[in-house]
Amino acid sequence: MDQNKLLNDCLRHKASAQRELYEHFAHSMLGLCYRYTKSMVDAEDVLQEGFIKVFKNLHQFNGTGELGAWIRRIMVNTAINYLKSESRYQYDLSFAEKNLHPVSDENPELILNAKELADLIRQLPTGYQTIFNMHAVEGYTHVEIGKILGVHEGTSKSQYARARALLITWISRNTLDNKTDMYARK
Amino acid sequence: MRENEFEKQVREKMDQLGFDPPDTVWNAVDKEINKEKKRRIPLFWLFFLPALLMAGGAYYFVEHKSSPDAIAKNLQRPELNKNQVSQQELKSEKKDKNTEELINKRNKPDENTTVQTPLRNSQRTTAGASGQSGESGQNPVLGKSNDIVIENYNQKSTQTETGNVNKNDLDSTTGNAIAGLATNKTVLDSAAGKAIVGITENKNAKKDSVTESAVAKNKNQKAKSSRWQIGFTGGAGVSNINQGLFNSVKTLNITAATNAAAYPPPAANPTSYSSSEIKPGFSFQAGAYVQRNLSRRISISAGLNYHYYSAKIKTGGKGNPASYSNYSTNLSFAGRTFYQNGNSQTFTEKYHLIEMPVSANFQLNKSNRLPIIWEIGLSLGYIIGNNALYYDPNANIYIANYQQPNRMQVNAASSLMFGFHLHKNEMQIGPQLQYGLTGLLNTNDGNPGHLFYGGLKISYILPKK
Repeated sequence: MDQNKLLNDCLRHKASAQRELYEHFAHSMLGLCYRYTKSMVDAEDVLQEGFIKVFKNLHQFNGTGELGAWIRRIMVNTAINYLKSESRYQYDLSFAEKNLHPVSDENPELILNAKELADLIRQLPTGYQTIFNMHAVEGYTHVEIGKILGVHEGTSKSQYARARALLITWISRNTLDNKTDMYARK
Repeated sequence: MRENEFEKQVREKMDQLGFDPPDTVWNAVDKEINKEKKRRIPLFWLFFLPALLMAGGAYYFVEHKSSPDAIAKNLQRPELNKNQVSQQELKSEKKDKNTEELINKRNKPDENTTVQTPLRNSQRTTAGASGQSGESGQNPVLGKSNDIVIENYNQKSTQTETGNVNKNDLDSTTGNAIAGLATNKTVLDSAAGKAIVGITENKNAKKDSVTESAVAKNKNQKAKSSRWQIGFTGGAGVSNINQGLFNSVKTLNITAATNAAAYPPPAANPTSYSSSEIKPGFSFQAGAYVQRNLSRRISISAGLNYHYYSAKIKTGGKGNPASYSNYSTNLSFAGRTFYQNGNSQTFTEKYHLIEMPVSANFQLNKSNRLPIIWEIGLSLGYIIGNNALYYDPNANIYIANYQQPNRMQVNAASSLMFGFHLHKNEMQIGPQLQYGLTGLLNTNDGNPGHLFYGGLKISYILPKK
């Protein structure tokens, strides 16, 4: 894929180029949207909204960075906006320290596949889920997360630590269950 | 295992995560992003077509309607027009018959016309976008919530049905008028199809042969011409002959425009005659221009326009040139067409100018999608024709065909243009004011008359090549 040519064609509203760009990134971006939401339908909604933003703002991409990274950031922002706007996510998205899950230093080995791990991440409370995704997967710093979500940097840090601990507990349990099943089958 | 190794593992796993979205997502995206494109085309015609119609109408008006002589001439020529029309009709009928015969000869009637809609295989690549958030340094549109209208994407995908016209079915109903008509249509369609294919093939062949030799040429041209843009402009509004920017004058006096030695001063009490006031008339302009960007928000442009100005005055009846001596003892204008003073008819004074506008354009906002541009400049104009009447206060008549001294006109112009994109081209539309710095007449009486124009300007800028 010649990125510059594709971009120019998209800017000229060439339908085939728009479709090519979409198809190139849609698969991985739906994975991203899936991690931030609780259902596939919501993930597809975010993907749709995100791509509309991508195409409408493509002229703002100056070509110096990686197009994939630019689209990825738009998708993350769109997902966060979606969570904020949808009432079913709003309560769970509050970052008040109500449910204080214990912090753990465990570091389990990840033998889960991508889908299984993503499903565990999606089971986290939405606030934890969002911060975990942003920090652990997307690589945002806690300062950046604080700015985007409108919370204090410290809140982001503590929420992340608790999300991580909760996830590790589930991963350990899941791994143990998987091992038990494996031995039982043997 | 250190803390960041867990994150590293999670990141690697999540980079592998991906799903194929259903086609409904793309359909909704496509519909939304190309909605503007589809909306802009009617918008273009909404502005362009009325401008074109107005220009055409004005041209017709100028050429045929306004002059009393022309009206009289037209009234005397209805038979000629009729004959012309009937001859044209005969010609076109003949032509149609010939075409039909040719098509019938060239095509066999047993061809099936099948329209196939190509089906698209939606193959999706699984290449991951692995860029990190900090890498790009771009402006990734940190959209506020609800800033995009979400359309329900649960739409049924549209299916284009293919239509097959079975000639055998039609043959079986020979003698049936409907089938006969259908057959003819099929033959015509296939003939047209063949013709189109032929043309396309020829075009492609020509293209291939020319393309290679043109590549090098194009490259050089691209580098040279990329800084200039070509545009077309048009506009319509009202015009007048003003004393100041917004004050219309009360008749252009012939004495003011004439050397005092050659023409006697007005009578002792010229104000006893009340001449007509000049009222605004229709005006339009059309032309082309080139534009060059000096910086991101400043550009200059130069062009060539045709500009039609008009203004209206009230006059009395048309006088007989032979009876001019009954009105005035000054024989300088003897033999010219003249109109008596009065209110019985409206006379449209027309000025046809060729103008060369030069302007500096300043973009007032930062938006590339909806730029607001202030244009200010001068245009050098030349009056190529006019039919203005000049009032003679001594004789209380309006003299026609008087050649006013200032054919060269320098106008100041300013416009506020609102731009928007039409496909890959840019359109601008906005109000424009133009005022003649040069008076129409050489005079010291403070009433030289200045051409004034106010209207809506439309510019269509072709993309850079």
